[in-house]
Amino acid sequence: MLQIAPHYIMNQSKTFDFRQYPPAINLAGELPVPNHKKIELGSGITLHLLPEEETTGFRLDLYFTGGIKDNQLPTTANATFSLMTEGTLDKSSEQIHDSLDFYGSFIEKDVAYNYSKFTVFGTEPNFKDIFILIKDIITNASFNEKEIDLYISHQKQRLLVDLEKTETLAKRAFAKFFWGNTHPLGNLSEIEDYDNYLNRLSLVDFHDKLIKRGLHQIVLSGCCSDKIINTIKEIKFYNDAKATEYGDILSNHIPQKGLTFIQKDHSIQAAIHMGTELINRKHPDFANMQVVSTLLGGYFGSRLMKNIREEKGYTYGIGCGLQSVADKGVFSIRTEVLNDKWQDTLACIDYEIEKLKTEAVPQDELQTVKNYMCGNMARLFDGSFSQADRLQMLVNENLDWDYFTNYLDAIKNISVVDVQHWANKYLNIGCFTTIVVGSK
Amino acid sequence: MINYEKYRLPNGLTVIHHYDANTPMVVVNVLYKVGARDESPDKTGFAHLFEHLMFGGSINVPNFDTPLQLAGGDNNAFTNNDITNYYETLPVANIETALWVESDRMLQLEFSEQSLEVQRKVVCEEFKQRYLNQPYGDAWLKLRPLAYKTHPYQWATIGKQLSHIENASLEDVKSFFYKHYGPDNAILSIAGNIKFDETIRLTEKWFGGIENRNISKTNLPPEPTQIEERHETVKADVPQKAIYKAYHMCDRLHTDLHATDFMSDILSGGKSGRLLNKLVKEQNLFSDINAYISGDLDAGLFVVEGRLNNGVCFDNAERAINDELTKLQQECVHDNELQKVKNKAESIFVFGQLNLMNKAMNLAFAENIGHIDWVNTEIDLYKNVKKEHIQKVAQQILNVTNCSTLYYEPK
Repeated sequence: MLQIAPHYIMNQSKTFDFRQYPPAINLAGELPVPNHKKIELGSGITLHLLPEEETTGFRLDLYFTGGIKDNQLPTTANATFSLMTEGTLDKSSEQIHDSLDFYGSFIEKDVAYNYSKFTVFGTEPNFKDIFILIKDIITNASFNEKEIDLYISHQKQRLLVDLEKTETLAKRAFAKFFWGNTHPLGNLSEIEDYDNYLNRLSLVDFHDKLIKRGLHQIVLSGCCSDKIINTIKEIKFYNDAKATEYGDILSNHIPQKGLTFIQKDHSIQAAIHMGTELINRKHPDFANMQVVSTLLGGYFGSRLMKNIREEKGYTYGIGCGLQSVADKGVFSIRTEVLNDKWQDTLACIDYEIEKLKTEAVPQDELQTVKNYMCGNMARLFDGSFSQADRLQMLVNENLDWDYFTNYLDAIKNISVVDVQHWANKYLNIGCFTTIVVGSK
Repeated sequence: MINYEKYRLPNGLTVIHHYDANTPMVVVNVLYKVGARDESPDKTGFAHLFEHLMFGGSINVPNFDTPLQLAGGDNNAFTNNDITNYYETLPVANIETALWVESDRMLQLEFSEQSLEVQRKVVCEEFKQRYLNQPYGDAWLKLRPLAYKTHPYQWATIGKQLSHIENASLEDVKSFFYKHYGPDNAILSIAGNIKFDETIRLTEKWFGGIENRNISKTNLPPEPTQIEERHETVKADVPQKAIYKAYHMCDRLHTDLHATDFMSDILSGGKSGRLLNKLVKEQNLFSDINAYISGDLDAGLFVVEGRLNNGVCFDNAERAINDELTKLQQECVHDNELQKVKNKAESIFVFGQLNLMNKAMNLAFAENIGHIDWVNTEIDLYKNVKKEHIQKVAQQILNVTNCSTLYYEPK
């Protein structure tokens, strides 16, 4: 027992009784309705607005058709997107970055499976200069050889460093086993690919077909003044010609199931990356399975965290998630654990999945997960930039805001019986592809 | 402009309030003025270990996370060399849940052997995952003791070595709590859709009864001026050579701080810094190179770190860095270069004010350095930096005898 001054104890007994009971909780009600407006710009391009008062900062998301799905060779999409900002017909890479920095602007690039996104942050006083520069980048990127060589050399160095990480090795091995070498998501770049495959022509072609002519959605959030909107209309970031898609690469790969151990000498922890195909976002059970996944390993109080981190102390963290990628639903579990505890960890994962299937989840635990997920949804809608993040999925998968309302309703309505039912229907440990990278 | 009001409870707790009517959420941020610098040299990593234990339950809250999750909340924490910071975001209607759990662990943590046992292991795994199992992950663990010989910044937040964590006893932990945790050593910052009066009423209710713990400030030994060049070479399983050069610089409140920060921006801010243009693109010596300041409260470090391209030797790489640093000492930076970093600082300032969590944290950080008004006005200090000031700082600190150099070499 602690040594506490006597008056302190008195004080506590007199005034602190109320502390023994949790404060009343109000459940998250409706989601806020985003102030979302649409303007058709012609040529099939929509400008979405998510205005926020009292800020001069804006964010402009430009969505293009070209994504990893269009990789004829590994790295094309990423390389094209990276090198776009490294020189135009009349500006060097140095001039471009110097100007962007001078205007206080910064750029983020994201190459997803089905699309790619170019995000520009800036402040109102400089918006026009920024837009002119961005238009130049999109329409006149030059892909000069010197920049391509530099890119190749740096990417190779980065990959060499990455390949020292057990986590990266496990992730890459999983991608190959799960998607297969012929699928763009499994066809990963090796060191030699950068020299063999990456050439100027493939980048120019990708840029021409899927970026220059591939702009299809624009989202402006934060400061949405009339001046900015009008300039977006006038400046035409896009080209009237339609994108020519390469067409889907067909892959009939069947994921390689079971456990594969990969030796990485001198590693201090073992990385585990395991997963299986489940349902995608369009499936009616998707929201239900998100609840099951969250219960198992999707939040700090999850069963995997409790078992493997908080009870056994094998890891700093473990998590799982169900993602909709390339029209498939992929359920995966990832962690890094004590080198000699990976077998035990796999057994614990197995145990927790079986438990979800055989024992009813206590009502209060399910309620916690549901409330946590609802609260999280409210967080994900807070502020115009967060809403722009949500819009990303909607505009690329042809959904509207109802999607989130329905999703929230599904979470609220799931019962203890449902959880066990969904766990039994979908979670089968025998179907998992499991990669462990460590040192024996 | 971030609006704010400040209030102090009789027990010494500082409360900062920011009102934002446009959000359904609230952020509750508790900053404790304790970090790795307050640890004793034979018990390092304690502030951070303690951060983990703060989630192990308190006198009336057996499990910290569950009530928050039930209230739709999310929470986390971090420790650095100067502070330990905890935060929750949740729907504003449930703010009392956050105040309940935060005040309860300030009142009295449940010190359990089992929680300590597990968190010792978890922190050891964190040590491995973040520092030992990553290429170059331990560079700062080597750089700190090279640069600091006296000041406790010589060890990293994670600690000097695993054994300090492995040997932590429950007694150590208890004494750490009463020495550093209490209302008089904390700043509570609340941002969201809640009015000031209501914030104070609830804060009084939940935190008002916690006793002032008369926490005294740790007296930290100042780092003596470095007078000799320091050098160390590490051999490890890494694919390419790396170099780290650390120069002692001023503390957080010094008038040179903003000029020093800009000096690092001119070298490597954004994608148009001098180091990138010269050493990566023009001379092809490095694949990555960066300059930054450590941002500590006490006198910190100005660091240049880079990874060398294959076939480049340390001598050539280091000479090229030194040439760039010498240029800063010999010539003033160009007017448009200075304007560029000022514009960038202003833009970062605008975006920093958009996020509720940022606002709550920035208010707490600014209050912690004794300048809460800086959340809105520090940008002016940046805008007023003169190019001559940057040159003066370069001349003062970018000297061989003020530098610790670490070579990281593949085995």
